Amino acid sequence: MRKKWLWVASVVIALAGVASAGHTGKRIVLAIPQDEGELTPYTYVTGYPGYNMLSLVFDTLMLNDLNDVPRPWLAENVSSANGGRQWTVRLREGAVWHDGKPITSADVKFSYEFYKKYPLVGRFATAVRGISEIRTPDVRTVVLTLPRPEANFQLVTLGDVPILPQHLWQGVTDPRNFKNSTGSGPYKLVERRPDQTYRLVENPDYFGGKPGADEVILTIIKDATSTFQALQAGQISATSREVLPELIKTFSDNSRLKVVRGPGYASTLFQFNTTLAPFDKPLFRQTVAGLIDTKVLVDTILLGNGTLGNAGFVHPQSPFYSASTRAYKRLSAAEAGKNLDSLGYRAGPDGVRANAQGKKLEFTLQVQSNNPLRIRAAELIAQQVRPAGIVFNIRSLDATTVQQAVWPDFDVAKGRNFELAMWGWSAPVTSQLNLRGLFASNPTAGTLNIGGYSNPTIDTLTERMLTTVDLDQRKSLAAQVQTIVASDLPFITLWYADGVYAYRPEAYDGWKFQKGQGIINKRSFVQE
Amino acid sequence: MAQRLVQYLLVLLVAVAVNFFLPRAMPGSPLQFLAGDEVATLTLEQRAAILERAGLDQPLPVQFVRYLGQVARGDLGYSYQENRPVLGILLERLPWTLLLTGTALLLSSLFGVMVGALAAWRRGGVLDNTSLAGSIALDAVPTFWLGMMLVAIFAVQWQIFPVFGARTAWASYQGWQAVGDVLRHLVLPATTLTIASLSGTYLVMRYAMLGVLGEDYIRTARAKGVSERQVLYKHALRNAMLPVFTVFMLNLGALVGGAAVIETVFSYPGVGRLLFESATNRDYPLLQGAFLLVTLSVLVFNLLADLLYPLVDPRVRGAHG
Repeated sequence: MRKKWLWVASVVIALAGVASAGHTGKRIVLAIPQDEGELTPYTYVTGYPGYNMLSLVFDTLMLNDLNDVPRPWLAENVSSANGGRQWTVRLREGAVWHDGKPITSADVKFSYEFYKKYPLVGRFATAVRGISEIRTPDVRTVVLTLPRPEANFQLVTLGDVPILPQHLWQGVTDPRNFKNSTGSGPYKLVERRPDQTYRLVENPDYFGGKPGADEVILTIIKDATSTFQALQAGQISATSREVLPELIKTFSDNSRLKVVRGPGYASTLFQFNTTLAPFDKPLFRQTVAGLIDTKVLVDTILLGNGTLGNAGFVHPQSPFYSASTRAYKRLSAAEAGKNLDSLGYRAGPDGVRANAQGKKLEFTLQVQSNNPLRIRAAELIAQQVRPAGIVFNIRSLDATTVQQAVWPDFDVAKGRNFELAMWGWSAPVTSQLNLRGLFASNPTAGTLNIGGYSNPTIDTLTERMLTTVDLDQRKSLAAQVQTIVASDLPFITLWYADGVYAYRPEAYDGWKFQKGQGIINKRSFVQE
Repeated sequence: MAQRLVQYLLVLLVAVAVNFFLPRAMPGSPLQFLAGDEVATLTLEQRAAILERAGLDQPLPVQFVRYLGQVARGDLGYSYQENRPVLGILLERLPWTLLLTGTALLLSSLFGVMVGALAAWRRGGVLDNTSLAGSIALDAVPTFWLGMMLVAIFAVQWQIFPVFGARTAWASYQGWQAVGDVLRHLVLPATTLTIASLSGTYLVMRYAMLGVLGEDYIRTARAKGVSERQVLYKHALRNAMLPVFTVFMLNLGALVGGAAVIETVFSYPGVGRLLFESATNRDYPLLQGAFLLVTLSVLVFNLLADLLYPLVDPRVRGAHG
């Protein structure tokens, strides 16, 4: 019997002893939550972190700095003329593709035209749609002509659209099935095990600075708990996931981990369907907003790790934030009751208000079952509005089911099938200041206007913002929009969660925090 | 025999139809997974083009007939999210699942039979009482919790075994090193699954054994002066194995899809997790393919059990003539 145990023990020790083989250079093992397909502009999957992983392999003409301002990158300089209708881009000298061929203006022209010809990826197709003419006076110069100026052209087009190597892509007719990740970026993709790992190695000839590591391993861990356990066990060096609020303290106390934080631009909202009564009345929406204590939400749910929502939506750290936007006006139950009385909703015997027709203030609040933070927020909100005689029944559903009810087929023209919902927009809506998408009443312009909000003044202002290249003018327009939104309240901006990230500095310490984006950005992977 | 095959074929057809229509009855569109996160920025024409490319613009009956034709030719289609053939994905995942669930099934059956038999043999003894209480307790423990505890202790605290995956992501091990790496990753998930499925076999074995021990032929054997060892192994154990065999065959059918929770907790690249993910992602072809595989394996092992049973139990042989 004893011998048997010895044998078992020795097997366990032998298994445990198989450690990772000798590797001397710097290696980043980064956990990402899902497979991103082939790393090409036509096949990557998620906006975050998929696009960021793509940017390790492909380059853009400009690249945002840590304050989210686009700077020349593959371009040496960028200039505009004629009120933003003409852009001249001068490429860096000596930049080459992974296979050694030089990057030329022809590649840029080819790429932008290719995205136009195969508009399968909305992000890039939309970005190049407004370009009417591309000229290449010499190998390093590109001149782009726009029939009408585009305020976000640097951010959305020059700083976002990956440049493709013409010599490899020119015969391609089915880009979704073209699996060649030869780009110009700081790393080269050398191996992909679908649904498990990507292995990238440094590109020693990179024009943008020396890559920070010899090797980057992207490993897919779908479960959040496993991801953070792997980080604590030292099996990964960092993760694209944000640290869950309840883990922040434990991680900060762990000497082998470093925790960094900064403003996050992803928003969490309380969404009204403004096409239904009583949500069509601004006074009703203001009343609900007045009953919600966002500070309690942030303190309870995020344990303080977040920024309180601005009634005018724009993040207080954004350059377009207007400090003169009025804050949410907090209401007591009695004050709220007066508002509701004036709207014709009187207290009933069960404490729920109803109007003369007997329509009670009782609504269904939909929330995504995979998002515990939002579920808790919905519960707190329901408690906060209850004393005023309003009942929110929380319905937790599969995320895709909620999306289909709130935003059928991602097309606001198809209407909406909900009363109230917990919602949120990802960081780019804020960083690109897509106020037109959020608030414009015409479905082709207001593509994110899921609540069906309509205000002609907002329509005009956001339309003007689209073509206003001058920064100060744009800020003033954005301030006017925020003032109106803070009073109309088509939705209630509850909070912006801080971006909190943890990594193991002994493995790699070159991480840089980009405002609203976090540490998983291209500049973190390059020594500048 | 021919009749039975026709029955199985009918069941398969119904399962295929359910696999096809049920996911499509769920609200939500696979558009996001066809087009990626940037779906919101697509124009209507762009969306239509993407749906057309996936054949989703056709009416459902047309899609179904097309799907049946494809399946008959062995073509399971393309996964929306991974943008590659479903068959390839399944074949990649299948060995990992079989390794994990197969190991666990063997171990749990082995331990279950051993402990169950001994417990019944010494009914009311220390082993019987502790193992009975233990198995009920283990049965009440959620599998994911058990897995997370094992990870927290053995992987995070003591760092003996890895937290996730089926092999080391960045290593290119050869030969025995590769085998050791795979085994090392297997230990925790296989242990969890073994513990989780242990009590089933154990309880069945214990009760079957208790039944057999009360039979006349056991008393006769003892009266004949057969040694206790021989009574246990030759007379009791072999006869008590029949119900365990049934449970084993049923478990074989669940091999392919049965470990979804464990595969998720340990990020193990198996088929079970695929079922869950493809349903969340509305990845119809992948969902259909994975379910088809699970259905097929259940049917095949049921058929196999049907065929093997007469060999194991002579009484059934008699009934069939």
